[in-house]
Amino acid sequence: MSLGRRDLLKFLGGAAAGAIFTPVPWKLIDDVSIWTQNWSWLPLVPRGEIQSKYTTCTLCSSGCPVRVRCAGAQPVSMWGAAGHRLCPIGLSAHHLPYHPGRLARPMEHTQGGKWQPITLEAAVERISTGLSGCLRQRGSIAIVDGRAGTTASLLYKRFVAQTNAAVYIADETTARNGIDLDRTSTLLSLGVPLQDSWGEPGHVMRLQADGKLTVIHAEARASATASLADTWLPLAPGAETAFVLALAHVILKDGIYDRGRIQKAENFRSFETLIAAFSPERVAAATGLAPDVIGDVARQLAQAGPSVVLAESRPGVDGADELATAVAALNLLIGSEGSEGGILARPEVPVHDSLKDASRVPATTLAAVPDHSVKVLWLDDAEIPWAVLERKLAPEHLVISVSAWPTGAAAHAGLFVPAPLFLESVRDAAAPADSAAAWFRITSPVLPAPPESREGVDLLSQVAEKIGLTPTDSLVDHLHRRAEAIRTAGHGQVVSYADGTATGIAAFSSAEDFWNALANGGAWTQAASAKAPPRLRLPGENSSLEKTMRTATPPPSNPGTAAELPLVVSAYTGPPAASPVLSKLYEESGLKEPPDTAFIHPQTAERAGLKPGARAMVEAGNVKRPVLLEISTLVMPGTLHVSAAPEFHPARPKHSIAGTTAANGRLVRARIWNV
Amino acid sequence: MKHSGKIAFAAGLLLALHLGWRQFPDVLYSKADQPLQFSHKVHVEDSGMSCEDCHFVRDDGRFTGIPPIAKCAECHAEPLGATPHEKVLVEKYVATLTEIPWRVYSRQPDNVYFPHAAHVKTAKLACESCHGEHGKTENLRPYEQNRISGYSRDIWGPSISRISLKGERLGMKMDDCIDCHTEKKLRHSCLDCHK
Repeated sequence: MSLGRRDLLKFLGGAAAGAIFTPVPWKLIDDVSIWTQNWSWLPLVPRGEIQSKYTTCTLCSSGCPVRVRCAGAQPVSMWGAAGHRLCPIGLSAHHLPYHPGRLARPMEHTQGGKWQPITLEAAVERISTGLSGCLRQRGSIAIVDGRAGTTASLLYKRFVAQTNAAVYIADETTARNGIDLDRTSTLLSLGVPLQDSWGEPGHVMRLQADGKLTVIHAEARASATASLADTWLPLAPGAETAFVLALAHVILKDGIYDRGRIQKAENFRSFETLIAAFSPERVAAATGLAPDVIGDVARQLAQAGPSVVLAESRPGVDGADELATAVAALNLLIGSEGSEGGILARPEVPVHDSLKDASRVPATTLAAVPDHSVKVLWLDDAEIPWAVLERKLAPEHLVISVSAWPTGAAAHAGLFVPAPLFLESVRDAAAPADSAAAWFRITSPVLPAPPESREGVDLLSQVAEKIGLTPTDSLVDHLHRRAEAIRTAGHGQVVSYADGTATGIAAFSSAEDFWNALANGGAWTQAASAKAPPRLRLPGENSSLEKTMRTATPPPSNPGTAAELPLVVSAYTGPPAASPVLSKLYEESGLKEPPDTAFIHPQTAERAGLKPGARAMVEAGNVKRPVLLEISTLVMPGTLHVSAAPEFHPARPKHSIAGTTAANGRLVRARIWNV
Repeated sequence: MKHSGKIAFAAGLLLALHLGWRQFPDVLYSKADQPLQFSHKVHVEDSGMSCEDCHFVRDDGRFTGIPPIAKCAECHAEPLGATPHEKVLVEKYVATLTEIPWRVYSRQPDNVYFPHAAHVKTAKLACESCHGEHGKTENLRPYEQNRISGYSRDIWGPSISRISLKGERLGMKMDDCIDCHTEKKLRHSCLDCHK
């Protein structure tokens, strides 16, 4: 028998056919796919004892208690502790130290607008040179603190107290006052993302579900908060102040306020005269709300109390101060100032003697800083639109940013020094907006910080020594001293993160015991008590509110073309990065809107002949930016919404849409067309 | 020859089937003996112990897994018998409190979270549901490791085809978890096991 070439081929064919009916190809596919998941260079969770560590999340001011599950020394998951929930970003915060957008080395901007790494010593030298050059010029150094009310804030104030050249800029509203939310019955929110990034995650929703809180949300778009509100008022963008004053008008007209108290307030008669111009009928067109709707909301606020009115804080943005003034007046009128379920003054967290003088240094607002006067701008986790800050800078200036993320205003810094993340450092958390209690909560490091990262105040202390000012001890030392001051004061209690139990401060016999209780998972807190403000003051006729009616113009009911639409920007706040793992849990668009996306109502798009899903160009003021155009029934007809994402590209931020709106006022008009 | 082509094809087919079904598993898995022999049978039947005496769920819900040497030392501080393995246990491991480097048949990959407490305590699942008759064995069989994936053979299951004519559980792959959950009408999602 002879076998030919053809037989050999048939043999191989038979073998191939047979192989298909064996486990070989199928098992190999499975094993090879597993093999690719276990390459040695892929980061894997180390083997080790599973243990829980407790810390405080400082990604926002809520300061949620966190249980960090660690395998060996490696954090592998994050959970809310002591009955608190975590937001989706907090749940994956242990991924953030490895985020590619995070900078772990000091960087400087080159002439070409690119980041270039420098050593920490070189950065300190450059900052020292910049600061020493303007130490004798009053107000030429501005420190913008994005975490007002913390111990680091006191250390910044201490620096400011040493020299007339420096001013301390911070919004201390939340540090001083908090909302007694658990006892609030009616909450009117003007664009505040109550369900997204305000207060403890789920707090508002839980109170609503328990029937304790009614939420009225006024916003041009059906955002997540609007969708979950008991009442959503589609308020035209830019008409917030007029709306608030119209509510005050109804309350005054109907006499549904505490006459004996309010009529004694400073400027009452003048305020009454001012408010007379803001009848619901008159502001109806500008707000897009029917007069009877405005009347109903006003009566609900006045009669279904305790009520609180909140507005989105936009420091430095034109129109924001007027809105804040109007909201404060309305809160006064409905009796929320200093009363249960309203806005309460937070008890002061005791301060060690070494920082008592510093605690009396006042914070300045950005508006009070003259334009083009700042030569050295120090940003510590500050979320202020760059266009607002840029106005304050002198022609020759140095901007220093101390943050983990080179995004937002930090992207414009000439010098960037990385700050550790909360899982890598010991710091205290700012006070939460949805509680009026005093809090002292510290973070405990579970990961090592990058060697060249520094807390802002520690860096400033290093620089202070170099330029002949008195340096301070480290932030950690001051935190220890503050903890001891709190223990010595003897008020309040410590709530354990592990089981939520509260222990009176008297139970801690030594400073070390108290510190350990905080560092191992505990929050010191002291409840606020209702106390009427000693002096009531309403804005009068000569206040900036007078121009409100002039600036609140109604959106066009029929835009005709897309040439001019009122622009609403969804500015990104909070941590600039989210873990990619989150996309397995939630759609990313549900967490944060995709960057540079324009949303327009289908009716508006149809009238303007705009095609959805296509690239488009938005032009606002002198800024032109390509966007992706999406059609959404959630936005108000006749308006254009653009999501402004954090900028990871320092060369481009001058074209930020967010900066444009900020620079030109609360409401600008924009053109959009398909490209 | 008239049928040589068919014969060649059949020969190739049969050879591939033989290699694929009989030889491939031997090539795919390497074998290694355990560092020490251990008789579950002696402990369970002769000494009257139960699985939970050594493999228990702690108060905080964590499973102890394979007991540490300290647990063995509770009874084996002195040799209990004269076998060579007993001698090694006491002299090499118990005396120095060195952990025995067991090769774990049921070790799940790092990306899997498997709570024993939920299965054994809450669902009252018997150990045998997943581990078979391992608790009655007289000797520890060689540990077989997949040369490509690095996983224990027990994850895939003893049968290379993953087909069981007797209907018993096959292995400890994700499919096996899903089958059991589906059978018991339990809801499950990716994040239940892949945290």
